[in-house]
Amino acid sequence: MAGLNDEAQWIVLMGFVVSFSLFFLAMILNQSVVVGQTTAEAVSEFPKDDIRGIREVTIESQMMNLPDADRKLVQNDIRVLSMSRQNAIVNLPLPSPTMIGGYTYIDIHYNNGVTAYNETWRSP
Amino acid sequence: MIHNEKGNLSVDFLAGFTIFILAFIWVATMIPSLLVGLNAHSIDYNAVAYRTSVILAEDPGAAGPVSGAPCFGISSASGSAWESTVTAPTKCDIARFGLAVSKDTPNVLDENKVNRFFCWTESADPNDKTNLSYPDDYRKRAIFGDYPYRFNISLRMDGENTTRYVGEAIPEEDYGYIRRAVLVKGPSNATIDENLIKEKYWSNGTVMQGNYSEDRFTIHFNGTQLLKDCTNVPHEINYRNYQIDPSLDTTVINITGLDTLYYDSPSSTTTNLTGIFLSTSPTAMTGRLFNDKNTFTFIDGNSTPVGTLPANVTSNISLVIPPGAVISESTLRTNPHVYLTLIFKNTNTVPTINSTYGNWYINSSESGPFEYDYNAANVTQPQLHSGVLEVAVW
Amino acid sequence: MVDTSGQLYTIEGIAAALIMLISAYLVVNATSVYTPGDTHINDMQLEVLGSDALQVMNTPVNGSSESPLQEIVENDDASTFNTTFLNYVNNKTGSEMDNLHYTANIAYRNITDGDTIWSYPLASNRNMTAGDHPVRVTEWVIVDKTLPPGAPYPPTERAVLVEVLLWRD
Repeated sequence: MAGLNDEAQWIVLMGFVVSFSLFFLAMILNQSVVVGQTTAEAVSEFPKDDIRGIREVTIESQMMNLPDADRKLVQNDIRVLSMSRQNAIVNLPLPSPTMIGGYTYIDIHYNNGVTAYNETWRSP
Repeated sequence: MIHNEKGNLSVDFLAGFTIFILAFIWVATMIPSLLVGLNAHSIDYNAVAYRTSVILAEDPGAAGPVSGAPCFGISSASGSAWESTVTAPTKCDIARFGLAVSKDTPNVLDENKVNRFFCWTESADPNDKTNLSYPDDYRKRAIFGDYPYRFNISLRMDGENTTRYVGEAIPEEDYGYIRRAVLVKGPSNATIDENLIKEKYWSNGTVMQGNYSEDRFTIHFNGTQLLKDCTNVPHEINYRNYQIDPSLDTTVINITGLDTLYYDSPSSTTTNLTGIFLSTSPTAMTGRLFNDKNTFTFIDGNSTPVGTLPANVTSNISLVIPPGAVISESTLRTNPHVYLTLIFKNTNTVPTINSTYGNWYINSSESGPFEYDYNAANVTQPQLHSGVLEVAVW
Repeated sequence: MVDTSGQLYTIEGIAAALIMLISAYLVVNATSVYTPGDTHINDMQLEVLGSDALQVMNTPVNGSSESPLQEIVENDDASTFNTTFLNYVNNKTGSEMDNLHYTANIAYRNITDGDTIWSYPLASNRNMTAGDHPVRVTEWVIVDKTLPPGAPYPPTERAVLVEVLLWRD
């Protein structure tokens, strides 16, 4: 191959440079359009209202001063409905909440496979 | 390698190079048309609108230092009561806007925060520290981000025709938009009308001063009870929706029917309101209020407040007390009991009045002070009114 | 005689031109068209509004009463739900109203049938057709009710899930 004339390789090289930069540009353009979509999807993905709802209904069920059997009924409702309708595992406290020093403490655990939320709520 | 130094270009080279250059020019003119539809900032208008709506509707805001002219980060304020002129007297003490009552009560807005937020001017003097101006002050405290977004935030209450807004008119197209359904917490108020007066708060003058008697009517704010005991609140989480806190909420006290207290006299009989006191005990008159800075005492239905005391009163008195103005947060937390006393000088003498009742007038010395608490029979509790909040960003 | 010694630059030039043209063609053809629906922004806006409306309905108006949504579920009051929910969801700050449609269900745990979840319809504004693209919002309520409806035992406190499908015309 010693006799091959490779003086014109620079033309092909320039051609390649241009085409690679075109591909790079295309990748950037492609990603930019997706930004708006993923922001909206991220908002919908995070279960803000689900977690708020679980928190409120759990605390309400604990602080309503129900008899034990009724409270267990309500909390089992919450557990089963949450698993079936919201695809989330909710662990609620044992039959009675912990009371220390005049405050009531409630442990809430929520996990929907993507987001996990754990809280120990103290009564005001 | 044989270098040709003669300076000639071969035809072959020209042909190849020409084809290459033609193709390059054609591609180069075609590509920019891809970029025409791309506008970096319009991609995230909706995201910024959503974020702003969350900051306004779900966050109580923050008082604190803010950077940039004319504030330069100088402020000692803290906490979330940025609407109070006691905590945040100038706009340099407001670090972030937020209209929610507290962080545990999303979508319930505080009326005083709403009032202060929607009070704005268009591009005021840059050194002005009191008035909020569109757009810079709002960009720094609610919109955030480096790009100078333009925006329009509006709020309308159900049943009202007027819409409160901040910002410019919304363009025809290409703007980010979000709408939130909200509730606005109103003030609590107590109306002491003639029936209540005649039932409980009506007796002889307590102190005889020469030929007139002095009647004292006291209203009792029990700080411990108001802040801690929200009885009948079904939801422990959002008790703040229903709490009466005179340091953070407006308190309205109406005393009506004063002209009916005299049986035999015409309604032109007037008494003299000589003083209003705030103290921590029901009898000691130590803190005299409303000498020359009175902006919240309205007598006989006048729309301008009474400037000085003593003043004549014929039929009714309204005290519209802004939050923190009379009873500040520190007062309520350190002194569990606060007493607001109105002192009337009653000059009507016995022969012109019904002989049985003498010169009786509104007076709480025998029955005890009027309790401003969560008893719905005495005090109209704070109500939540629905409304809609819209944010448009472009 | 024809020989090929002068064709070097030409061939290279043509090759480079072909490379650039083909890659430009691929790039221009590869840009995807994003319709507004693909971005899910409208879905997000509807979801936020719907869950706000349900949350506001589930807030008691004053400190000592039940929330409007609790009363609606306890009495199965479809017309009140209809007026209240549409009011919250269609109100705008200008003078015109929006035009959204919904159907609402109550989902509850049926203790007489293992622990399965049953549901019954609560209210709707229009029947949903196949072309509508709804979002789903939910709200937890604790109500004093006999569930399943019509069972022979007295009402007790139960937790139910109000599910609303919301869509725009």
